Amino acid sequence: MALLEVEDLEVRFTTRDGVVHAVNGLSFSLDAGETLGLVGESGSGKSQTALALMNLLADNGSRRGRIRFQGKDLSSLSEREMNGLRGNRMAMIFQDPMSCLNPHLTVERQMTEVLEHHQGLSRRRARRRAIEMLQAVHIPDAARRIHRYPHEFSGGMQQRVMIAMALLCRPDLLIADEPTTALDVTVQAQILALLKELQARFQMGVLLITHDLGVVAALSDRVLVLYGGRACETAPVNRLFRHPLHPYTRGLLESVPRLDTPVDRRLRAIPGSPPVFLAPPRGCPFAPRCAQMEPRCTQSPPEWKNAAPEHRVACHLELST
Amino acid sequence: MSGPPLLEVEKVEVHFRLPGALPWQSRRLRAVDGVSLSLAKGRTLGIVGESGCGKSTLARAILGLVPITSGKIRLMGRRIDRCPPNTLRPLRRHMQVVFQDPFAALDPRMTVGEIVAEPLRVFEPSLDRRGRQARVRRMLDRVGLASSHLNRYPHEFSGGQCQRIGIARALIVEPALLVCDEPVSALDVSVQAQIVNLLQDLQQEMGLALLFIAHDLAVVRQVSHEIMVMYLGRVVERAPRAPIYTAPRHPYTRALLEAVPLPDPERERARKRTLLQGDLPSPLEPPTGCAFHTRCPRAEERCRTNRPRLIQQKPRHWLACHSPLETF
Amino acid sequence: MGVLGFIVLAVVIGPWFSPWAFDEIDWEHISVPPGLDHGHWFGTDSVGRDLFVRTLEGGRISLLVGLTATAVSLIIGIAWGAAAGYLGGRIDGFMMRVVDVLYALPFLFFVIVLMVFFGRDILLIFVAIGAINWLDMARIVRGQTLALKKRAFVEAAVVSGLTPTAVIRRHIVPNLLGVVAVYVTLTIPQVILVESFLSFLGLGVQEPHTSWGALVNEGALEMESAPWSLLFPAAFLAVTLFCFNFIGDGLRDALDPRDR
Repeated sequence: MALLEVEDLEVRFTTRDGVVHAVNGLSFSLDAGETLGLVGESGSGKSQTALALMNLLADNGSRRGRIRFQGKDLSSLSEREMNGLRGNRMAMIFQDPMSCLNPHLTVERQMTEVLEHHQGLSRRRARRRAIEMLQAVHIPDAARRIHRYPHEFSGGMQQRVMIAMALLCRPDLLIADEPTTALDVTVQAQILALLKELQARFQMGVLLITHDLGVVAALSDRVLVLYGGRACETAPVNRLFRHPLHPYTRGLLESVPRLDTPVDRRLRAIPGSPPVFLAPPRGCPFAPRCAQMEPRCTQSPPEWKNAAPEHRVACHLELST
Repeated sequence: MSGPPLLEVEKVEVHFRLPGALPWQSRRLRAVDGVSLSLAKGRTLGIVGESGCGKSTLARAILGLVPITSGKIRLMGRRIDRCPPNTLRPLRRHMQVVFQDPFAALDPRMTVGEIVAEPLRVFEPSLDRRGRQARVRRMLDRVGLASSHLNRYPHEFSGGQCQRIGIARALIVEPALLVCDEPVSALDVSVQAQIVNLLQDLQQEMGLALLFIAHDLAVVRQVSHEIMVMYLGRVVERAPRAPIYTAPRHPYTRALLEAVPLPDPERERARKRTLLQGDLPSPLEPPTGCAFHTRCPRAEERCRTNRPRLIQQKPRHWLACHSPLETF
Repeated sequence: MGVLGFIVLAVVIGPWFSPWAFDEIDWEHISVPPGLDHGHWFGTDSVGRDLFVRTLEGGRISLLVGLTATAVSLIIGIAWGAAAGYLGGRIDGFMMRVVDVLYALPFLFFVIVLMVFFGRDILLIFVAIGAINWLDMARIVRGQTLALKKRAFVEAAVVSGLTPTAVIRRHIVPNLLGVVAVYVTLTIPQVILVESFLSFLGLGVQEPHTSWGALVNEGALEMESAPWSLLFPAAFLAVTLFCFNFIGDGLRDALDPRDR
């Protein structure tokens, strides 16, 4: 049984200007111990997918579709049951650590609170566990530092504290939403290595959301590429980078400047801008920017095609490597 | 490439005084701590570094947005540091800027046409309205925007388009130097390439000198002829592009390059690299001696006590290090 | 908003409808309650003047005072606040100390002194009230300017070669107007109330001109015998103030999220 199964997920927001379709018909699965990289830019719906899974959408948002976590249908759960899962069996880390660290409480209090609430530990035992977790994320001098306030830590350290807090109850699923985007590159490298180490140690399923292809390449086992609220390609990571099929995936890989290839005089850019959808387009969301667009691309949404074992593409065209 | 360089920065320091713990105390933030560089017409100098390295402060000091504490800055041979505003103003024509946040850089209450025309009002007051409009249209066209956008407002456009508007505004008076402070960091990945191409094309057409500040090493490599690496307000290495990326001599430069994850999973996971330990020190309390010694895998005793000077190793390769990496 | 529009309209053209002028005395109908038969729709006051016309006439004066004094405080306040905020440093410090000192002066004392020296000129009332209110406006504008100064488009304007005056004029002030507009709608009622208070004390407009405050003053004296002479002006005053405050709140809500 897969750890997480998502089927036909749809996320909508009612705004003053109309209904925004953030995610349209998204399906994927995640097993324990594997990392699925969710790649997309703005308007792709990647962050909204994460929030929908945790049922943390804003008030004007709604989700539809089936989400099964460890076999349980999440939409059938009450808010209380959901609260029991969040922070406990499924956890989330964000781009900005200060968005989940309370500036008025010491780190110790925030961490012990979680353990007391979800696992009924006493304050003393909770503190011991918290210190262990801080050590697992390589915070030096954890036993002393735990009594400090979040703002007394540097950016990289705050990120580690946030990760430690998320992992306190040894969750089975970790959703990481752009966990390293705001970090300096040398600190990012440390955090990426840390996430890899922690996943191996705790055997979690990790849903890694990012726009950075390097981060995807470093951590993911499988990749799902999103554009305009829809999935366009999914494959194991080596295969996706070696043989990208979808015009968007290819365009993305070709347009990113990289350190490991010689410098071309000009980058191969994808024209146009990522979409902002007030109403889902009838056809493929990438059609307006696609060099190989055909009339049918704007008329109906593309279906999944199997290109190779575990490699699927959603495109009207006949694609070959 | 003859004659004096377009831009000369000589041992510039920018220090800020911040309040200390007690009312009469103050602390000194050495944002830029002795930086020198020169830039010739038509060339691009890329400046890279992480938080607290002072690259943005350096850019703003060059632009005259922030006063410098000591040192000299010369634009086209004329001193522009500590210059009375009225003397500086006409020189500004030759030095313009593109900022990181494309939306914040545009006045939300003005139309695109008004925004792009503004430098013309200052530097070519003899132009009448029609003349200005014609120039604005031409410029918008050059940056890939339609003239129908003249009367629209910034919030109606995407990030990439707003950045084009910002570039149009900067280049309408045809400056010799364009300072780009993280011009693509806030843009979507698929749009970054467009803007990078645009800047390079315009540089070719107009003979611009670019001061390109960014934290993304791959982007900087794409556009720069020469690269300067900064750490905690100081220059640690400066060299043409090829040596920096293939044979860096400063341990920090190498650490930076090794830290960037490659979009190639097989190669990325097979990499052997040494990760830097610890966090970036705060610029308020820089380490003694060489600022990098607290994280440097090659630190020696003298790195802790003596600040290394920036020494020329080869014709255009400068290095500030006591125990540099050997060339390989 | 609609109610306010109605009141303004009424105040401006209303008196035309009545056969009476505002200072005309109807000797036959002194202190009569409102009625339709004698043409005094709001009744008359103790001297026999038609209250309908006087209420509307008073409204003209009150609103005029409100708008003019606010305009005066607006102009001075914006100029002072934007300059202080933008120029910063010692100039800012000095300018704001001036504001602090003026703040400390007892307003009423100041007005009374002015009145004593210059008589009860209507213009003087505008100036006096405006001269006091600009202080609040200056502080608010300065705060906004400090925040705006840091925004990238202001820096871009500086790099584009604009002089400080041009930057303030073209970039800072237009982007302040949202906040200023909200504050203005809250200042106008404040000013009207101040004028009413002055009139209540007997320092406001001269007879036979009147304002809502003056009418309330007179009406209060007749409260027991002729309640209508207090009721109508007070009602107009209260409703108008409420409208302005309501608009102010609405403006604030409308402008807030958009400016994000």
